[in-house]
Amino acid sequence: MKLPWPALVLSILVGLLTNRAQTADSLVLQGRALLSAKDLPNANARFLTSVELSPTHQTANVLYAATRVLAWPYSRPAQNMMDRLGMTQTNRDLYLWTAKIPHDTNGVPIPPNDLSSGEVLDLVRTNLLTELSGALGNLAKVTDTNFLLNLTSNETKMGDVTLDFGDVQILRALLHAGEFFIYSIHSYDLNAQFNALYSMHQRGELTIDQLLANYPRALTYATTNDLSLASNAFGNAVQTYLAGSEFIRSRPTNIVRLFNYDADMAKDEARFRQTLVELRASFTAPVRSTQLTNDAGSMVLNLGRAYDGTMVLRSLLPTFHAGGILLGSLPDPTFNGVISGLSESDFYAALGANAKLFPSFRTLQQLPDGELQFDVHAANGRLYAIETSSNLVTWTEIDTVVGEQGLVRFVDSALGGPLRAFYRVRDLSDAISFEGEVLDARTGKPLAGVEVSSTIDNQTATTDESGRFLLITRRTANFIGFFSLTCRATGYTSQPFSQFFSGGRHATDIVLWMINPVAAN
Amino acid sequence: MGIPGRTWAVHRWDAAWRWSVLLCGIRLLTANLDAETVDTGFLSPQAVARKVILPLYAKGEAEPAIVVRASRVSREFQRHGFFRLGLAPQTVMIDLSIEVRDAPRARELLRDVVSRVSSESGKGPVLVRGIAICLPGQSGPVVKASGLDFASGVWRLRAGTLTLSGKDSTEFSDAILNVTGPNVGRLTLAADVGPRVIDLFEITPSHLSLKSLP
Repeated sequence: MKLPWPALVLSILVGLLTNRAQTADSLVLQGRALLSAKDLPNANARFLTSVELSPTHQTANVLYAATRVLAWPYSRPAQNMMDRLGMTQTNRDLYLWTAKIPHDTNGVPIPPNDLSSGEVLDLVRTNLLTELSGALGNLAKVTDTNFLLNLTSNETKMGDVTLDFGDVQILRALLHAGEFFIYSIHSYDLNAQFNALYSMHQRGELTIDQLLANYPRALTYATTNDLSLASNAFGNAVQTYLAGSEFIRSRPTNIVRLFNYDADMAKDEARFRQTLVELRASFTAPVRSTQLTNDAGSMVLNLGRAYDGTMVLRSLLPTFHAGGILLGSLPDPTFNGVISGLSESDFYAALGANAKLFPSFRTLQQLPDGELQFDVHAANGRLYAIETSSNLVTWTEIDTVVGEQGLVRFVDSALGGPLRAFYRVRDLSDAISFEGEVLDARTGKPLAGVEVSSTIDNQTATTDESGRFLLITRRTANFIGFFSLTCRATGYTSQPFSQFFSGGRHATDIVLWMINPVAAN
Repeated sequence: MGIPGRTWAVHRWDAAWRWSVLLCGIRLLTANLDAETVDTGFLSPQAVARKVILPLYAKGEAEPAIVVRASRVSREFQRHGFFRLGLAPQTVMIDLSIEVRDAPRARELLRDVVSRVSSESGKGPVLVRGIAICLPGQSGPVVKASGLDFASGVWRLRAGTLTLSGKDSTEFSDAILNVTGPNVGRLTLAADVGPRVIDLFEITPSHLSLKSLP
């Protein structure tokens, strides 16, 4: 019997395709067996061949995506970098990694002489990023929302798990986020010889101000070519996260996948999604942020200004000093127009939780009546001591002022007295302080106008109408040892309140009792 | 047949997981300290066992040296970010109570307390929310803490109180309990009043003061 030629061609094609699919499947099986045998590089090679044979094979693509990222440390460029770092050659095995780079006696890595952070970043940008982007291409092949991949604990070495379409979207989002991060940091000059940094560390000079001084090009643009790529990666990360989140949230609650919905985190996750949507939108136009904002809710984001090649990070930094930040030194509170609606004080309030904030002089002027007035950049709500000296050795406190609207204003009306050649402003937020209330021992009612002092120094505080006091000493060391507080009020006697304190500088909720001997009788 | 005095009770279980919990009960009924650690868990993911009691026996003894109770033992997935990872199960013990009945023999068993329960419940880390340690001759729990982390040879207790003779109470933010080695039973407190150390197995009913660290 003679077949017509179209049928013959079709049957050959079907046969070829079927064989190819079977071959891809068998390669996947081989790769999975190699995964079980902890042979990641060869498993990766099998999955690659499988994908080459059947480019739309979803399982092969997912397994290849996972293993190409995980197998990256086994690649020649990565191994070469580990060699240069002086890492021990043996046991560079992801399943039992014990290889280490040399450390000094303090546990700080000892860098090689000829390696710079720029070289590491270039490796990440060229080699690792290639694998991340390739893996993203593989995961994008999963288009079937009914996709399922069951992995055994032998394969994962952690536990049995099933991946579905939603999990793949979250994995894509994570990889896009990795792309975004790499493109972003590679755009800036972060180049420094590691051994130079190590020397700075050994000399105790590894501070931001010293780093900026030693590396005048740090945080300027290394290239602006990657900025648009970073912007795209961010958009893709948000898009895939939203798709994955929606899929996961709509799953029946009785099935378990890789990423599982957590009802306890539902509100936070919803806020996170809203934030992502706003951030993504702010790449193209200013957006009023509803989640990342200040108390006034007035923050407007324009992330497009951060990725249009005009925002040189270095020029936007405040002045760093002695490991802290000089108040009033922020050159542009809008950060090149990226953030608007926040005051300079808002930034310092946010920074103050993690960094020292140093006051700095702003203006100095003589008033018409001869008094001297100066304004100092200060943090809102903090207490500052104004001190004066004639010799820069002996300092005398002449007033205390609370910072308001980013300022401390002081008017020296006692110019006719001893010579005041120098002034300084001390931040008392680190001083040891005691906070509490004084009560009548007989009635339990609060006592106003009571003078409270401590054994630390001669500072005193007076209770307010509700009996509350805040005694701020001038000592800035941590609490260690016994300290006594004493109360004085006309007609009352009191026992000194003595307690052992350790750790911290602010003692709160102290209750002191005073006895009125006349009333008690 | 179980050793006399051994008790294992599951008073209530979720219907969906009754078979796995029943299996858990059977396994713990037959548990003894000489048994090999098993890899497979008795609790399926998200399974719950309530009012668990696990007596621990010293070798050759008929009476338990330690009785461990937990108001709830469950298998959960660890939370990472906003999601729980199906790849990372953990055992969660709520209100773990360790009742020491025979202090000298309990020294050898202390380190096995959590590993026994966790090995029976499956792979993965163990999370303890609320722990109390009771000693012979003390009217109430001597040590109570809100959480427990495991490290090599020690337990780190978080935010708790040490109460001696039911009245001499000391709060601590962190405490280290040695559960193995020559100092097993030694509890070191990081308290407001400074570091303090006490040997839990040397406390007598009249013990009222804490020994200072050398």
